[in-house]
Amino acid sequence: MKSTLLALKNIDVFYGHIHAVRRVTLHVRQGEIVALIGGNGAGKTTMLCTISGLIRPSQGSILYQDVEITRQSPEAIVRAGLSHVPEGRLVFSPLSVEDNLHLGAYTRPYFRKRSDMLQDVETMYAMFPVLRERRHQHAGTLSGGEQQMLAIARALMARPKLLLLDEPGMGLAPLVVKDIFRHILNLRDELGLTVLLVEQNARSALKVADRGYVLENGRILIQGTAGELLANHDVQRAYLGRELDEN
Amino acid sequence: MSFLTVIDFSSLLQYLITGLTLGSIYGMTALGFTIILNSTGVINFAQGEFVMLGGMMSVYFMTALGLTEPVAVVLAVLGTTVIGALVERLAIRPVRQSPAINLVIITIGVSILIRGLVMFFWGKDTHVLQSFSGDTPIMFLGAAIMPQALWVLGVSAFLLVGFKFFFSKTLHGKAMLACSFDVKAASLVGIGVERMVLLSFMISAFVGAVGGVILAPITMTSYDVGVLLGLKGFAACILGGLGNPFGAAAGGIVLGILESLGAGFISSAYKDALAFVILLILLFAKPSGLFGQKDSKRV
Repeated sequence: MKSTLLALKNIDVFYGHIHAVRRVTLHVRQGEIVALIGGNGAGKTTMLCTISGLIRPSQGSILYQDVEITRQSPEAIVRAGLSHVPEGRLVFSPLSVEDNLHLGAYTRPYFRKRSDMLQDVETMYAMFPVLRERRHQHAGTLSGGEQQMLAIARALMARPKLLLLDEPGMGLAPLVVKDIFRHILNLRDELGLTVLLVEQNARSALKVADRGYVLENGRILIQGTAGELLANHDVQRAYLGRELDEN
Repeated sequence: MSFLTVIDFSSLLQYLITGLTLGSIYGMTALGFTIILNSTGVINFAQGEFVMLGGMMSVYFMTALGLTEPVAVVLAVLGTTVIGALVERLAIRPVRQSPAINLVIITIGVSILIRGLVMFFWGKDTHVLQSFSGDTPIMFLGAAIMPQALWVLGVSAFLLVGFKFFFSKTLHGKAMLACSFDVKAASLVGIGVERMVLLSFMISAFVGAVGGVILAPITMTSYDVGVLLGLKGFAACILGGLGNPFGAAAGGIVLGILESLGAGFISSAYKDALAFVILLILLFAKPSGLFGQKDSKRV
């Protein structure tokens, strides 16, 4: 069995009085794609923001490669090799595509390794050719799918080992979603990246994932391999839109 | 009656040059406002005090410590930059999570404090700083240009080009812009947002102090020059479109020229009023400012 890259133990997160995440324990192994599924407001985005240091948990610990990162700054967490592609993509709209990519490499030793950085930009263009075509355009003028690719590429520029993806398919046409998920599979298969994926679209997520967790009202309700979850009646009824009577 | 007198070319040129000189200082003050606004969402009403500190500290270093002018000027600019950093660390960072309006009011308090301290320790007198390269005017097409005006224009142009380069070519400049576009996304690519805010206060204090230092030989300086300069700089910011650094600089120049033409052709008694009246008219006609962009983004 491969080693554990990320482990969360008994994480509790509060927004004021709202208990958004309750005693969540989960882990992600090296090279896995793990899906975190659940409805609106289940606490999925909060989970990712807690891992990347944007939100401080009130209790519990987060271990990355067996090192405690629970109260580290987002900056330190990026440096450690954990990149978060946020919900809604959040590209820097008024900056060019290329500038967005350069900023993705902000944590890397820039002045000494500029040629490395430019090499990585080329790698991103090879992976997402549409970004090369639009390299001098403002990121805000890109289509939703292109912005998602840019957001992923920007995160990859930090050379992460673990990628946190928040709703990569949100608001995109089904064909575009398919394309994005194909890219996510490639990231793991070709770059050896580990991915923790948050999705409302449970079916597409479980299709590419190895394992999954179902989050409801801030708690983990069910966990298992992607196959088990796809076959689970509760998951089917609640998240895959299938009536039980059909079976 | 006076505005009916013949408008001859040389006096027009004279007013334009005076306006451009004054406008450069307004523009630099406005640039300082914009840099802090972009990184924090806060209008820093202590910006005028940074301008005052540049001039007053130069005077203090020369008279009390007996330093030569170039040394005093450099020290004053550096000192103000340090004060800018202190303002951020002591007054802004501890309450960083508060709503922007609270922070704005804190900056007003900071400005009163700085003004009060300067008055208390260095007095209420008006001081003169010597012109950097003498007071022999250079005649140009019938207009007299003071050498100090050339200093003002040169230094402003140099700073503006420098900032253009910083924000569009360097990674740290772009990172600072990134913070102003989206703080969350900026932290997620590993930009230390707190450090950027500190840097923005230091840069703003630096620009303000440089403006104060090069202006002091022309208008003289005292503990309270920052009030009106701050207001004019703020007006310039709005004139150019809030949040756009180069719009702010251009807004300052427009304001300076309007003021100078108003003083020359109508009456110098109304020069401050005239500038603000024009500002009001413009805001009614075009609320986003002269160079403000209409908000458009893809959703």
